[in-house]
Amino acid sequence: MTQLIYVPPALMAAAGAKVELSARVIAPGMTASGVIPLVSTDGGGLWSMAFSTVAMDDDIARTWLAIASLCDGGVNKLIVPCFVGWPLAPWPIVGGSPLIAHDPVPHSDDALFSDGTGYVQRAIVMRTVGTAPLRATTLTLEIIAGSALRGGEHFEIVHQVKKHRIYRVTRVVIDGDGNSVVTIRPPLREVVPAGVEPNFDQPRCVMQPVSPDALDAEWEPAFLGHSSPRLIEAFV
Amino acid sequence: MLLTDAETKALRSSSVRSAAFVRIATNPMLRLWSGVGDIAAQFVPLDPAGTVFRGIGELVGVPELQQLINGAAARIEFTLSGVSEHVLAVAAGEAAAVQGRTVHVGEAFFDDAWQLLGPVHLMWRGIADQLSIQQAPSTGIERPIVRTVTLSAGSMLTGRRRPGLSYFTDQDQQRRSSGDRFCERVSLYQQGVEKGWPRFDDPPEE
Repeated sequence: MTQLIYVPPALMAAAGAKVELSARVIAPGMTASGVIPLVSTDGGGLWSMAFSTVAMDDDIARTWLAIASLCDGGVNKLIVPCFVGWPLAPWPIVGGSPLIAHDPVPHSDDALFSDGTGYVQRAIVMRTVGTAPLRATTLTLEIIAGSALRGGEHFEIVHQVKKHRIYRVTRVVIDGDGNSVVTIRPPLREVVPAGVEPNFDQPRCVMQPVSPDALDAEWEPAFLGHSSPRLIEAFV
Repeated sequence: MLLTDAETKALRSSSVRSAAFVRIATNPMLRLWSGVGDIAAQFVPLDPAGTVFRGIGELVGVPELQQLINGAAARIEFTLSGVSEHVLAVAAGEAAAVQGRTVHVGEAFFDDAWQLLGPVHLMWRGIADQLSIQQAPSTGIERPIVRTVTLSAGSMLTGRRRPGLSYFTDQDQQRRSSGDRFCERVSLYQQGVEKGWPRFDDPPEE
Protein backbone atom coordinates (compact mmCIF):
# COMPACT_ATOMS: atom_id res chain seq x y z
CA MET A 1 0.00 0.00 0.00
CA THR A 2 1.33 3.46 -0.88
CA GLN A 3 2.38 5.52 2.11
CA LEU A 4 2.05 9.29 2.35
CA ILE A 5 5.08 10.94 3.96
CA TYR A 6 4.70 14.46 5.35
CA VAL A 7 7.74 16.63 4.56
CA PRO A 8 8.46 19.19 7.30
CA PRO A 9 8.55 22.78 6.01
CA ALA A 10 12.09 23.21 7.38
CA LEU A 11 13.33 20.69 4.79
CA MET A 12 12.18 22.84 1.87
CA ALA A 13 14.17 25.99 2.68
CA ALA A 14 15.86 26.27 -0.72
CA ALA A 15 17.90 28.94 -2.42
CA GLY A 16 15.41 28.89 -5.27
CA ALA A 17 12.11 27.20 -6.05
CA LYS A 18 9.80 26.85 -9.00
CA VAL A 19 6.23 25.60 -8.73
CA GLU A 20 4.29 25.53 -11.96
CA LEU A 21 1.52 23.72 -13.78
CA SER A 22 2.90 21.46 -16.51
CA ALA A 23 0.89 21.64 -19.67
CA ARG A 24 0.73 19.38 -22.72
CA VAL A 25 0.12 21.53 -25.75
CA ILE A 26 0.40 20.40 -29.36
CA ALA A 27 1.11 22.74 -32.23
CA PRO A 28 -0.12 21.06 -35.41
CA GLY A 29 1.81 23.44 -37.63
CA MET A 30 1.39 26.83 -39.23
CA THR A 31 -1.58 27.58 -41.43
CA ALA A 32 -1.23 29.29 -44.78
CA SER A 33 -2.11 32.58 -43.15
CA GLY A 34 0.68 32.25 -40.61
CA VAL A 35 -1.50 31.27 -37.64
CA ILE A 36 -0.19 28.52 -35.36
CA PRO A 37 -3.17 26.88 -33.69
CA LEU A 38 -2.54 25.25 -30.35
CA VAL A 39 -4.31 22.19 -29.01
CA SER A 40 -4.17 21.43 -25.30
CA THR A 41 -5.00 17.89 -24.24
CA ASP A 42 -3.93 17.77 -20.58
CA GLY A 43 -7.24 18.67 -18.98
CA GLY A 44 -5.71 21.49 -16.91
CA GLY A 45 -2.19 20.25 -16.19
CA LEU A 46 -0.49 18.94 -13.09
CA TRP A 47 1.94 20.51 -10.64
CA SER A 48 5.69 20.26 -10.86
CA MET A 49 8.12 21.54 -8.24
CA ALA A 50 11.84 22.15 -8.58
CA PHE A 51 14.01 23.34 -5.69
CA SER A 52 17.62 24.44 -5.99
CA THR A 53 20.17 23.93 -3.27
CA VAL A 54 18.35 22.92 -0.13
CA ALA A 55 21.04 23.56 2.45
CA MET A 56 21.25 21.07 5.28
CA ASP A 57 22.51 21.23 8.80
CA ASP A 58 22.87 18.02 10.78
CA ASP A 59 19.22 17.71 11.82
CA ILE A 60 17.88 18.55 8.38
CA ALA A 61 20.35 16.15 6.78
CA ARG A 62 19.26 13.25 9.01
CA THR A 63 15.59 13.94 8.29
CA TRP A 64 16.26 14.34 4.57
CA LEU A 65 18.09 11.05 4.26
CA ALA A 66 15.40 9.23 6.21
CA ILE A 67 12.57 10.65 4.10
CA ALA A 68 14.40 10.04 0.82
CA SER A 69 14.89 6.41 1.79
CA LEU A 70 11.28 5.99 2.96
CA CYS A 71 10.13 7.37 -0.38
CA ASP A 72 11.57 4.25 -2.06
CA GLY A 73 12.33 6.07 -5.29
CA GLY A 74 8.79 7.42 -5.60
CA VAL A 75 6.70 4.40 -4.66
CA ASN A 76 5.65 6.18 -1.47
CA LYS A 77 4.34 9.67 -2.04
CA LEU A 78 5.36 12.89 -0.32
CA ILE A 79 3.14 15.66 1.06
CA VAL A 80 5.28 18.66 0.11
CA PRO A 81 4.70 22.23 1.33
CA CYS A 82 4.60 24.89 -1.37
CA PHE A 83 6.45 28.03 -0.28
CA VAL A 84 6.41 29.80 -3.61
CA GLY A 85 4.28 32.89 -3.33
CA TRP A 86 4.28 32.67 0.46
CA PRO A 87 4.65 36.46 0.81
CA LEU A 88 1.75 36.83 -1.63
CA ALA A 89 -0.72 34.99 0.61
CA PRO A 90 -3.69 37.08 1.84
CA TRP A 91 -2.36 37.54 5.39
CA PRO A 92 -4.57 39.56 7.72
CA ILE A 93 -3.23 43.06 8.29
CA VAL A 94 -2.88 43.84 11.98
CA GLY A 95 -1.39 47.16 13.02
CA GLY A 96 -0.29 47.87 9.48
CA SER A 97 1.71 44.66 9.17
CA PRO A 98 0.77 41.22 7.86
CA LEU A 99 0.02 38.72 10.62
CA ILE A 100 1.64 35.48 9.52
CA ALA A 101 1.17 33.47 12.70
CA HIS A 102 -0.65 33.66 16.00
CA ASP A 103 1.20 33.24 19.26
CA PRO A 104 0.79 29.69 20.60
CA VAL A 105 -2.17 29.47 22.97
CA PRO A 106 -1.46 27.75 26.32
CA HIS A 107 -3.88 25.79 28.47
CA SER A 108 -6.18 27.64 30.84
CA ASP A 109 -3.51 27.40 33.56
CA ASP A 110 -0.92 28.94 31.18
CA ALA A 111 0.85 25.59 30.84
CA LEU A 112 2.14 24.45 27.48
CA PHE A 113 2.52 20.92 26.13
CA SER A 114 5.48 18.81 27.24
CA ASP A 115 7.52 19.83 24.15
CA GLY A 116 7.01 23.51 24.89
CA THR A 117 4.45 24.13 22.16
CA GLY A 118 0.90 25.37 22.54
CA TYR A 119 -2.27 25.36 20.50
CA VAL A 120 -1.81 26.82 17.04
CA GLN A 121 -4.23 28.10 14.45
CA ARG A 122 -3.96 29.44 10.96
CA ALA A 123 -3.66 33.13 10.35
CA ILE A 124 -5.78 33.04 7.18
CA VAL A 125 -9.25 31.56 7.57
CA MET A 126 -11.63 31.22 4.62
CA ARG A 127 -14.57 28.93 4.02
CA THR A 128 -16.20 27.58 0.86
CA VAL A 129 -19.76 28.68 0.11
CA GLY A 130 -21.86 26.15 -1.74
CA THR A 131 -20.73 22.88 -3.28
CA ALA A 132 -18.25 22.89 -6.14
CA PRO A 133 -18.47 19.86 -8.47
CA LEU A 134 -15.60 17.73 -9.77
CA ARG A 135 -13.37 19.69 -12.20
CA ALA A 136 -15.02 23.00 -11.38
CA THR A 137 -12.80 26.01 -12.01
CA THR A 138 -14.73 28.49 -9.88
CA LEU A 139 -15.10 28.47 -6.12
CA THR A 140 -16.91 30.87 -3.79
CA LEU A 141 -14.97 31.75 -0.64
CA GLU A 142 -16.10 33.61 2.46
CA ILE A 143 -13.19 35.51 4.02
CA ILE A 144 -13.28 35.16 7.81
CA ALA A 145 -9.70 36.25 8.57
CA GLY A 146 -7.45 37.55 5.80
CA SER A 147 -6.91 40.18 3.19
CA ALA A 148 -8.85 40.44 -0.04
CA LEU A 149 -7.81 37.99 -2.72
CA ARG A 150 -6.24 39.50 -5.83
CA GLY A 151 -5.08 36.56 -7.90
CA GLY A 152 -1.86 34.56 -7.84
CA GLU A 153 -2.42 33.09 -4.37
CA HIS A 154 -2.05 29.37 -3.70
CA PHE A 155 -4.22 27.33 -1.38
CA GLU A 156 -4.63 23.71 -0.43
CA ILE A 157 -7.77 21.61 -0.10
CA VAL A 158 -7.57 18.21 1.57
CA HIS A 159 -9.90 15.98 -0.43
CA GLN A 160 -11.38 12.75 0.84
CA VAL A 161 -9.74 10.52 -1.80
CA LYS A 162 -7.19 12.68 -3.61
CA LYS A 163 -5.87 14.05 -0.29
CA HIS A 164 -3.76 17.27 -0.41
CA ARG A 165 -4.08 19.30 -3.65
CA ILE A 166 -2.89 22.81 -4.45
CA TYR A 167 -4.86 25.30 -6.49
CA ARG A 168 -3.90 28.74 -7.77
CA VAL A 169 -6.26 31.72 -7.85
CA THR A 170 -6.33 33.29 -11.32
CA ARG A 171 -9.26 35.72 -11.12
CA VAL A 172 -11.42 37.18 -8.33
CA VAL A 173 -14.93 38.63 -8.51
CA ILE A 174 -16.88 39.87 -5.48
CA ASP A 175 -20.48 38.70 -5.51
CA GLY A 176 -23.52 40.43 -4.03
CA ASP A 177 -22.98 38.80 -0.62
CA GLY A 178 -19.41 40.10 -0.37
CA ASN A 179 -17.91 36.66 -0.98
CA SER A 180 -15.02 36.11 -3.35
CA VAL A 181 -15.82 34.07 -6.43
CA VAL A 182 -12.40 32.85 -7.52
CA THR A 183 -11.35 31.20 -10.77
CA ILE A 184 -8.75 28.53 -10.12
CA ARG A 185 -6.28 26.31 -11.91
CA PRO A 186 -6.10 23.37 -12.16
CA PRO A 187 -9.74 22.24 -12.05
CA LEU A 188 -10.84 20.69 -8.77
CA ARG A 189 -9.59 17.14 -8.36
CA GLU A 190 -12.69 16.19 -6.36
CA VAL A 191 -16.07 17.53 -5.28
CA VAL A 192 -15.70 20.23 -2.60
CA PRO A 193 -18.68 20.60 -0.26
CA ALA A 194 -19.66 23.80 1.51
CA GLY A 195 -17.88 24.71 4.74
CA VAL A 196 -14.43 23.48 3.74
CA GLU A 197 -11.56 25.71 4.91
CA PRO A 198 -8.80 25.97 2.29
CA ASN A 199 -5.28 26.25 3.69
CA PHE A 200 -3.62 29.48 2.47
CA ASP A 201 -0.95 29.55 5.23
CA GLN A 202 1.02 26.51 4.17
CA PRO A 203 -0.46 24.78 1.13
CA ARG A 204 0.79 21.26 0.46
CA CYS A 205 0.41 18.78 -2.35
CA VAL A 206 0.89 15.06 -2.91
CA MET A 207 4.05 14.77 -4.98
CA GLN A 208 6.55 12.17 -6.09
CA PRO A 209 10.15 12.43 -7.32
CA VAL A 210 10.50 12.94 -11.05
CA SER A 211 13.07 10.16 -11.11
CA PRO A 212 14.43 7.81 -8.44
CA ASP A 213 17.52 10.01 -8.02
CA ALA A 214 15.58 13.30 -7.78
CA LEU A 215 16.00 13.42 -3.98
CA ASP A 216 19.70 12.57 -3.94
CA ALA A 217 21.86 14.69 -1.64
CA GLU A 218 25.45 15.69 -2.36
CA TRP A 219 28.08 16.04 0.30
CA GLU A 220 30.93 18.50 0.18
CA PRO A 221 34.07 18.43 2.29
CA ALA A 222 33.39 19.43 5.90
CA PHE A 223 30.22 17.38 5.54
CA LEU A 224 27.99 20.10 4.17
CA GLY A 225 25.07 18.58 2.36
CA HIS A 226 22.68 19.99 -0.19
CA SER A 227 20.08 18.70 -2.58
CA SER A 228 18.06 19.99 -5.53
CA PRO A 229 14.85 17.93 -5.57
CA ARG A 230 12.51 17.79 -8.54
CA LEU A 231 8.96 16.62 -7.92
CA ILE A 232 5.76 16.09 -9.86
CA GLU A 233 2.16 15.78 -8.68
CA ALA A 234 1.20 12.23 -7.84
CA PHE A 235 -2.09 10.39 -7.68
CA VAL A 236 -2.48 7.36 -5.44
CA MET B 1 -20.65 13.20 -35.30
CA LEU B 2 -22.79 16.24 -34.65
CA LEU B 3 -21.07 19.11 -32.88
CA THR B 4 -22.89 21.61 -30.74
CA ASP B 5 -22.73 25.29 -31.65
CA ALA B 6 -20.38 25.89 -28.72
CA GLU B 7 -18.03 23.14 -29.91
CA THR B 8 -18.04 24.48 -33.46
CA LYS B 9 -17.21 27.94 -32.19
CA ALA B 10 -14.39 26.59 -30.01
CA LEU B 11 -12.88 24.70 -32.95
CA ARG B 12 -12.85 27.88 -35.02
CA SER B 13 -10.54 29.58 -32.55
CA SER B 14 -6.76 29.30 -32.71
CA SER B 15 -6.61 27.57 -29.33
CA VAL B 16 -8.48 24.35 -28.84
CA ARG B 17 -8.85 22.36 -25.65
CA SER B 18 -9.66 18.73 -26.28
CA ALA B 19 -9.02 15.31 -24.86
CA ALA B 20 -9.16 11.73 -26.02
CA PHE B 21 -11.36 9.21 -24.22
CA VAL B 22 -10.88 5.44 -24.46
CA ARG B 23 -13.39 2.83 -23.35
CA ILE B 24 -12.49 -0.86 -23.28
CA ALA B 25 -15.32 -3.33 -22.57
CA THR B 26 -13.51 -5.43 -19.99
CA ASN B 27 -15.16 -6.52 -16.75
CA PRO B 28 -15.15 -4.10 -14.99
CA MET B 29 -15.31 -1.52 -17.77
CA LEU B 30 -12.06 0.40 -18.28
CA ARG B 31 -12.53 4.10 -18.97
CA LEU B 32 -9.49 6.34 -19.46
CA TRP B 33 -8.90 9.83 -20.76
CA SER B 34 -5.81 11.76 -21.74
CA GLY B 35 -6.13 14.50 -19.11
CA VAL B 36 -5.19 14.75 -15.44
CA GLY B 37 -7.44 13.47 -12.66
CA ASP B 38 -10.96 12.12 -12.91
CA ILE B 39 -13.69 13.57 -15.10
CA ALA B 40 -17.42 12.92 -15.34
CA ALA B 41 -18.56 12.80 -18.95
CA GLN B 42 -21.17 11.27 -21.23
CA PHE B 43 -19.85 9.04 -24.00
CA VAL B 44 -22.55 9.15 -26.62
CA PRO B 45 -24.28 6.75 -27.15
CA LEU B 46 -22.60 4.32 -24.78
CA ASP B 47 -22.45 5.79 -21.29
CA PRO B 48 -24.90 8.04 -19.49
CA ALA B 49 -23.94 11.48 -18.27
CA GLY B 50 -21.77 11.49 -15.18
CA THR B 51 -19.74 8.39 -15.99
CA VAL B 52 -16.28 8.83 -14.50
CA PHE B 53 -13.15 8.46 -16.64
CA ARG B 54 -9.77 8.12 -15.00
CA GLY B 55 -6.80 10.20 -16.04
CA ILE B 56 -3.24 11.03 -15.17
CA GLY B 57 -0.68 9.27 -17.21
CA GLU B 58 -2.51 6.00 -17.47
CA LEU B 59 -3.20 6.70 -21.12
CA VAL B 60 -0.02 7.91 -22.71
CA GLY B 61 -0.43 7.28 -26.39
CA VAL B 62 -3.60 7.45 -28.45
CA PRO B 63 -2.45 6.99 -32.02
CA GLU B 64 -3.89 8.51 -35.12
CA LEU B 65 -7.16 6.95 -36.12
CA GLN B 66 -7.76 6.08 -39.73
CA GLN B 67 -10.78 4.69 -41.42
CA LEU B 68 -10.66 2.26 -44.33
CA ILE B 69 -8.89 4.22 -47.03
CA ASN B 70 -7.82 2.79 -50.39
CA GLY B 71 -8.53 -0.69 -49.12
CA ALA B 72 -6.14 -0.47 -46.14
CA ALA B 73 -7.68 -0.68 -42.64
CA ALA B 74 -4.97 0.20 -40.13
CA ARG B 75 -4.32 -1.46 -36.79
CA ILE B 76 -3.68 0.93 -33.92
CA GLU B 77 -1.79 0.60 -30.66
CA PHE B 78 -2.51 2.21 -27.30
CA THR B 79 0.51 2.63 -25.06
CA LEU B 80 0.71 2.71 -21.30
CA SER B 81 4.21 3.50 -20.14
CA GLY B 82 5.85 3.59 -16.74
CA VAL B 83 3.54 0.99 -15.24
CA SER B 84 4.37 -0.75 -12.00
CA GLU B 85 5.44 -4.34 -11.66
CA HIS B 86 1.98 -5.16 -10.31
CA VAL B 87 0.27 -3.73 -13.39
CA LEU B 88 2.66 -5.70 -15.55
CA ALA B 89 1.74 -8.92 -13.76
CA VAL B 90 -1.96 -8.16 -14.05
CA ALA B 91 -1.58 -7.36 -17.75
CA ALA B 92 0.25 -10.63 -18.33
CA GLY B 93 -2.42 -12.61 -16.53
CA GLU B 94 -5.40 -10.77 -17.96
CA ALA B 95 -4.30 -10.59 -21.61
CA ALA B 96 -6.85 -13.24 -22.56
CA ALA B 97 -9.61 -11.27 -20.86
CA VAL B 98 -8.87 -8.21 -23.00
CA GLN B 99 -8.69 -10.00 -26.36
CA GLY B 100 -11.83 -9.60 -28.39
CA ARG B 101 -13.21 -6.79 -26.25
CA THR B 102 -14.74 -3.79 -27.94
CA VAL B 103 -12.67 -0.60 -27.84
CA HIS B 104 -14.26 2.80 -28.34
CA VAL B 105 -12.24 5.98 -28.82
CA GLY B 106 -13.85 9.38 -28.58
CA GLU B 107 -12.99 13.04 -28.35
CA ALA B 108 -14.47 15.85 -26.32
CA PHE B 109 -13.92 19.60 -26.35
CA PHE B 110 -13.62 22.09 -23.50
CA ASP B 111 -14.14 25.80 -23.06
CA ASP B 112 -11.47 28.15 -21.72
CA ALA B 113 -12.47 27.18 -18.16
CA TRP B 114 -11.87 23.50 -18.91
CA GLN B 115 -15.57 22.70 -18.75
CA LEU B 116 -16.96 20.22 -21.25
CA LEU B 117 -18.80 21.85 -24.13
CA GLY B 118 -20.67 18.68 -25.02
CA PRO B 119 -20.56 14.93 -24.68
CA VAL B 120 -17.71 12.72 -25.77
CA HIS B 121 -18.12 12.07 -29.48
CA LEU B 122 -17.46 8.56 -30.74
CA MET B 123 -14.63 8.60 -33.29
CA TRP B 124 -13.58 5.00 -33.72
CA ARG B 125 -14.72 1.53 -32.77
CA GLY B 126 -12.52 -1.54 -32.84
CA ILE B 127 -11.72 -4.85 -31.29
CA ALA B 128 -8.86 -5.30 -28.81
CA ASP B 129 -6.41 -7.89 -29.92
CA GLN B 130 -3.01 -8.42 -28.44
CA LEU B 131 -1.82 -7.07 -25.12
CA SER B 132 1.96 -7.00 -25.20
CA ILE B 133 4.35 -6.21 -22.39
CA GLN B 134 7.81 -4.79 -22.68
CA GLN B 135 10.35 -4.34 -19.95
CA ALA B 136 13.44 -2.51 -21.10
CA PRO B 137 16.45 -3.69 -19.11
CA SER B 138 18.13 -1.31 -16.73
CA THR B 139 21.45 0.00 -18.03
CA GLY B 140 22.51 1.49 -14.75
CA ILE B 141 21.43 2.84 -11.41
CA GLU B 142 20.44 6.14 -12.94
CA ARG B 143 18.40 4.53 -15.73
CA PRO B 144 15.74 2.39 -14.12
CA ILE B 145 13.67 -0.30 -15.76
CA VAL B 146 10.84 1.07 -17.89
CA ARG B 147 7.77 -1.14 -18.22
CA THR B 148 5.36 -0.58 -21.08
CA VAL B 149 2.01 -2.20 -21.84
CA THR B 150 0.75 -1.92 -25.41
CA LEU B 151 -2.74 -2.84 -26.58
CA SER B 152 -3.17 -3.54 -30.28
CA ALA B 153 -6.64 -3.00 -31.66
CA GLY B 154 -8.13 -3.31 -35.12
CA SER B 155 -11.37 -2.25 -36.69
CA MET B 156 -13.89 -4.69 -38.07
CA LEU B 157 -12.30 -4.30 -41.49
CA THR B 158 -8.76 -5.03 -40.32
CA GLY B 159 -7.62 -8.42 -41.61
CA ARG B 160 -10.84 -8.92 -43.54
CA ARG B 161 -8.96 -10.84 -46.24
CA ARG B 162 -7.67 -13.18 -43.61
CA PRO B 163 -10.80 -14.75 -42.22
CA GLY B 164 -10.56 -16.06 -38.72
CA LEU B 165 -10.50 -19.83 -38.53
CA SER B 166 -13.68 -21.20 -37.07
CA TYR B 167 -14.88 -24.78 -36.75
CA PHE B 168 -18.06 -26.58 -35.87
CA THR B 169 -16.53 -27.91 -32.68
CA ASP B 170 -18.14 -27.66 -29.30
CA GLN B 171 -15.42 -25.25 -28.07
CA ASP B 172 -15.93 -22.82 -30.94
CA GLN B 173 -19.71 -23.06 -30.64
CA GLN B 174 -19.52 -22.27 -26.93
CA ARG B 175 -17.41 -19.21 -27.73
CA ARG B 176 -19.92 -18.08 -30.33
CA SER B 177 -23.02 -18.92 -28.35
CA SER B 178 -22.46 -19.93 -24.75
CA GLY B 179 -24.68 -22.82 -23.63
CA ASP B 180 -25.58 -23.98 -27.15
CA ARG B 181 -25.27 -27.79 -27.37
CA PHE B 182 -25.67 -28.02 -31.14
CA CYS B 183 -22.07 -29.14 -31.76
CA GLU B 184 -21.78 -31.22 -28.63
CA ARG B 185 -21.58 -34.57 -30.43
CA VAL B 186 -19.43 -33.45 -33.37
CA SER B 187 -16.44 -35.22 -31.84
CA LEU B 188 -18.23 -38.55 -32.38
CA TYR B 189 -18.11 -38.03 -36.15
CA GLN B 190 -14.36 -37.88 -36.49
CA GLN B 191 -12.50 -40.09 -38.91
CA GLY B 192 -11.42 -43.26 -37.24
CA VAL B 193 -14.21 -43.26 -34.67
CA GLU B 194 -16.10 -46.49 -35.07
CA LYS B 195 -19.79 -46.04 -34.71
CA GLY B 196 -21.63 -49.16 -33.99
CA TRP B 197 -24.87 -49.79 -35.93
CA PRO B 198 -27.70 -49.37 -33.49
CA ARG B 199 -29.36 -52.59 -32.47
CA PHE B 200 -33.04 -52.31 -31.97
CA ASP B 201 -34.96 -54.67 -29.78
CA ASP B 202 -37.53 -56.85 -31.49
CA PRO B 203 -40.96 -55.23 -31.38
CA PRO B 204 -43.36 -56.80 -28.92
CA GLU B 205 -45.54 -59.43 -30.44
CA GLU B 206 -49.09 -58.35 -30.95
